Amino acid sequence: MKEVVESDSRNTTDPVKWVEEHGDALYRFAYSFLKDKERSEDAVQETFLAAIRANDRFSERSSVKSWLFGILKHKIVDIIRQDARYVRPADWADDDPHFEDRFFNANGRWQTPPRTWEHPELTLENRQFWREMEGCLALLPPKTARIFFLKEMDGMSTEEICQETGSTTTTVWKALSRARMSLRACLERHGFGQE
Amino acid sequence: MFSRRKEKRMTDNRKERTSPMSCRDISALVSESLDRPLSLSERLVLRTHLLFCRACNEYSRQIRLIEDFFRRTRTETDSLKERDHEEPVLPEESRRRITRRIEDEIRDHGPESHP
Repeated sequence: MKEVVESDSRNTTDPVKWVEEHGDALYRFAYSFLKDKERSEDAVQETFLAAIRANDRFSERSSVKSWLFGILKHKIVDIIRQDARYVRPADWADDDPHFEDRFFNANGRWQTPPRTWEHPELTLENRQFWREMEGCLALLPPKTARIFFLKEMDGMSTEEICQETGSTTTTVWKALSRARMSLRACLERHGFGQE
Repeated sequence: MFSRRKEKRMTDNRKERTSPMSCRDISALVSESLDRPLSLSERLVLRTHLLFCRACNEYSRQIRLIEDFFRRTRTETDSLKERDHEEPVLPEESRRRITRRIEDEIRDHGPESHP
């Protein structure tokens, strides 16, 4: 993860040069998730602008490139979360004490047992899957989504997520559990895994 | 399809983390197994339940597939950072537009300390 400080042009702190130096790599990265020219361009542009606004933090960074990619990931997540295809139940909030009641009946059994997924192809290249996944990710309440993305986009450990969000381990595990529960149900509800 | 076998309610303290018996509790444990090492007794409880419960088995399989998808995606997209001069590239007109936008931003709210 940590990169050695480079003093060549690749580590320039001159924002105008970033477009030449890092534009293609950032764009390609954004495109692999967003699959769309305009959304990917927006993500790249917003990344540069956010970086300029946080300019005073340049000097603390070991590598401009990895710093820009860090910002880009968050911009991609923001864009994915703007997807409003599916509507979240109005009463589903981050701290909903009844979340699990949507999935289990009073004796703790599944209301709708998960069905077997036939030929599940979970890849970014499987447009149908990824489109559904985007829509389902957008449904997660904000804090739950943040924790899920820190885990799955940034690959953070529970401890790192706790530090980043100021949450307890129990909160993090619960949020991840709920995110997984709702994602798989949402995918299935929209036909994923059924022939 | 889904066996509705009666679950033996060994104790009534289902809330206790070491003896979760319902599918509701098991689903949380399955999820946590992706985030932390389970204790020996938790592993035992989980394995026993999964042996008999098709729904929880499927749940476990699916959230693992999702977890695995994100792990693969992290690895694959990470490697994109290093591969220069590959398609797709930032289109020329976008490059110009973004550069102009950056110059505007610097003029308006510019970084004072930049060399």
